[in-house]
Order: sequence, then structure tokens, then C-alpha cells
Amino acid sequence: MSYTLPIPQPGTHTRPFWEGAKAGKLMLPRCQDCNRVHWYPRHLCPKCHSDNLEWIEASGEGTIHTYAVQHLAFGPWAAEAPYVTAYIDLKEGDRMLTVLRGVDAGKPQDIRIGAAVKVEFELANDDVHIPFWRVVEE
Amino acid sequence: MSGEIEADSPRYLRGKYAIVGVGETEYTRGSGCTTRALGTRAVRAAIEDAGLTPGDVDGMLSYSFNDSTPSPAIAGDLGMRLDFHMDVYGGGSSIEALVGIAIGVIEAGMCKTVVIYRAMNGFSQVRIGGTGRGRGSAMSGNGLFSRGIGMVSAAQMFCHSFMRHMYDYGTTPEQVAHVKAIHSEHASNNPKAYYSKRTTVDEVLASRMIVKPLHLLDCCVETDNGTAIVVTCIDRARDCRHTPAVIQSVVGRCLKPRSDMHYQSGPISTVAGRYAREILWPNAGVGPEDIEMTGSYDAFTFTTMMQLEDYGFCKKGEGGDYVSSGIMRLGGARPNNTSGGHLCEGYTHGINMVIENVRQLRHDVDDGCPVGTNGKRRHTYDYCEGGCRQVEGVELSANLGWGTPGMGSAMVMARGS
Ligand SMILES: [Zn+2]
Repeated sequence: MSYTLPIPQPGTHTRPFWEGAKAGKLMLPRCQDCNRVHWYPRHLCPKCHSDNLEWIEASGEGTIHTYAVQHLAFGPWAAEAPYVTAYIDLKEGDRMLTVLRGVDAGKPQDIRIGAAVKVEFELANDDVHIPFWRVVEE
Repeated sequence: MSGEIEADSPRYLRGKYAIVGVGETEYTRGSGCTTRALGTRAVRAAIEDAGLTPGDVDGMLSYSFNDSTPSPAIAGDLGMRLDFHMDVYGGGSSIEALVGIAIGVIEAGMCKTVVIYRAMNGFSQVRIGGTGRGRGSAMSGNGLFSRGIGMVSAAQMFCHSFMRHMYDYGTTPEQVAHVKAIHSEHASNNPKAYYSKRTTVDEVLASRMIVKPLHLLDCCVETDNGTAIVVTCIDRARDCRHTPAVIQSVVGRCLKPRSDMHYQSGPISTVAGRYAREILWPNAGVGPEDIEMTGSYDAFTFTTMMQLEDYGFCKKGEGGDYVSSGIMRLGGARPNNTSGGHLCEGYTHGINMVIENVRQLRHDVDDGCPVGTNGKRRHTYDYCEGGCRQVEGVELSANLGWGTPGMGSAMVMARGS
């Protein structure tokens, strides 16, 4: 099955993220001066402004910070509606926007802020595997 | 409150500048003309309203998402030679910021009187609701991860904040739907309003879901229109046609921390007004309790609610109670968006809410009340459908402009003498 949705292109500050994704690993930038993780990846630590960054393999675990059900979407995503978007509180710190899996967009009352989620990757093309987060069964 | 602000310092120019003219074209879907024509007509109307001629105005400002016509074209059409102009990028939260810039350039001696306009075919050309802006450019930065999952419209991006507010404070869609119902009551007394029919809370909740928790009727209208205001110093304002709306303080495009992605800086159920209020109230020398009417930006019902809360009109978390209490209705203690705002009157990225408060402070709002022999309306203060919408004796108003959850602008105006 080919991936029909918009595909991000690996860029200057994100290449290690996408390389990790190909191997099924969630790679996050961490500051070697203040030890904090940030998202999204950029050229410096937005918390202490150091240039001294490294990439770490994260746990791929997090919790739902907030969510919304997208009924009116645009472009190729229009065909996916309704779908659930969410901000994930990463175990290592900061938040990541995602499309939530393992939930029923028709039953939003069953989606719980604070619920545990785990990252997974979908192959979009040879170079890009896209992260999605799935609710962990309790 | 911030210790940085010296509330009594004259350098904040409290009371030294005023809005003296307002004008707009009809709010339509399908203007049938260019943004150049809309802008020119609105600017001409605002200058006429001030009792001035185009030759009296030597400064011009506008804002747009590159979906409009710049100042030199508008000025050329009206035969104006400008000593200052600037066309800035941006939508909501621009107008209050531009009033501050107008004050600054006049104070610097760069010009004497500034007209500010927004001209947009917001329905028939570039629709902000998602089909227009933001689809074409390359995905980078945060966009890499938001656009890749289909996030292009304001509703899609803001709704996560609204959902978290419901979680943190127990706010309900039913409470927030009152914003639309109340603004629709106001619009029913505004002959200019695009949607002048009254809408109930139940109708909002029954309308189709756009992005949960936003129903269709929680979202503002998209319209084509030109809108303009004229800013000048208080001495010149006294020579203009109407009672001036005197600017007490302005805040322009104030940001939350981590402004590139405010969601990273909790709590995300707090918006930029939390920071803007620390400039707005001390500079104005008044607090929210003194304000008699508000213009809280209503791109969505939720934006009105969250701003009123974070500017301190109620305790944090009690915005749902505030907007459903009736206080915002005409006849209530502090009416909001008496024109119907973006939800009902028309979509202008904030300027129509400033225009409305200027007319309210003149005590001459353009409702259906009869015009007296002095050319001013004799208001009945009967707020029944199709009736009056003048706030009786209003002396002090606040505009709360929204750009994103992380960006806001605001302005306090007082009735002049
Ligand atoms: Zn750091």
C-alpha cells in the first residue's frame, strides 16, 4: 500500500531524526549543557541557547496532553477525516503533535487525556518513515 | 503586575491620541470588486467620517496575509501624498498593534494623521478557514510535523488549546456556545451584519462538527470587506466631526513564551492575554473591573472566552461561567462585541470590533434607532430583536485582539470630551 499523505522532507536539523525513524527509533535532540530534550529539532537548545546538542534514542513513550477530532481537513488528509490529533507529553520532555492511533474518532468520549501512548512509524517512502502515536491498552 | 510598568509615567501617552474616523464597505460574500476598491472605499469613508479630506491625512498603515492591496495604490487612488506608510504581514492582533505604531510615528514627527485599513476578499478570494493560506510553502520547523498531518486551518491548530481548557477547568461546549448566541442577538440589531438572524445555544451545539470541540457555529463567518480607522493626536481630534475615542493604552502582538510553538510552554490553556494584561491595565490606569464593554476577538467562541479570562475579567478557569452568565449581552453589565463581531457581523481580522467600540463611545452606534434633528440617533436602549444596540452611557471600552493562542494585542479607549 503506498502512502498517499504529504511526506516531510528531511532537512538540515532533522536528518538524524529521520534516520532513526527508518530504524524504528525515536531520536530526540538533547542539550549537552543543560541535559534537556527539546522538540521540534532546531539549531540550538531553545531552553539554554547552547549549540552543544546531541541526539538520543528516546523511550518512545508518552502521555496524551490534549487532543482534537479533525472533521474538516484539507488536501489528501480530507479523505482521512474524521481523525484524532493530539499533543503528546514525551517521557523525555517537551511535546510532539501527532495523529493518534488506536482510538475511535467517532467515540471521542473514550479518549482520555493523560492516557499512555507509544510511538510507531509508518513507511512513507524509502527515506521517510513517519511517526504516529498509539494508545497503549490498559 | 509587572514592576517594569510605571503606570503614572506620561511617556506612555495615555489620553494623548484618539480614533477620530471609522468606515467600512458592506460585509458580503462576493464583493464583485478588487481589494483595491474595497480599501479605497473604506479609507475614503473613514476620512469623511472624521470630517477630514484625503489631503489632511499624511500617514497610512495596512495589514494583510499578502491577500490585499498596499498603501501606495490606495493613496494614489485618493490623490493622497503620504509622508509615511507601511503594509505589514499579519491578521488577527494587528489592528491594536498598528494603532500603537501610528501613535509612535506621529509622536516621532514622521506624519500627523494616520489611516489604517484592512481590505480583503475573505470569502471570494483567500479564505483563511483552511482552503487558502498555508498550503503551498515547504514544510519546515514546526510545520514539518503539523502540515505533514494535515494541519492548515486556524481551527485545526487552536482546538487543542480549547480541549485542554475543558479538561483543566471543566468548561463545556454549551457554556461557550453562549458566545455565538449572544453575538447573534447583537447582530440582529446591526443592519450591517452579514448574519443578522438570532442563533440559540442548541443550534450551535446541533451544528456539524468542524474540529471537536468546535461546531460550525462556533466558527466565525468569512466575508469580503474593506474597513478603516483614522488615528491622530488629541489636539487635532478635537477639531474632528465626532466625539473622539481616546486611546488609554495599547499592547501589540504580545507573545507567550516559546512563541514559535506555545504548546511547548504550559499551561496551553493560557493565552497571550495573560502577559498582555500586565501592560494593558497599568498603562491605561484602569483594571478590567472598570471596563464597561469589551471587544474580545471571536474567530471562535472559545477565543472570546479564553481572552476574557486571561485579561482578568473573571478568575482563571471561570471563563465558561463568565460567557454564559449573561454579562456579555446588551443590557448586561459588560456587553461584548455589540456589532456581532466575527461570528456574525463580518470577518476583518479584528478591525470591525474597534470600529464598533469607537461608535459606541460616541453614543451614536448605527442601529435602527431614529435619527434626531441634530443628525445623531435617539437611542431607545430597548435591545429586542431589530432594536437598539447602544450601550447606555458607555465611557470606557477594551479591545482584546487574538492572533494565535500565543499572540495577542489589546487596547483601552475612553469617550473623549
Ligand atoms: Zn540547553
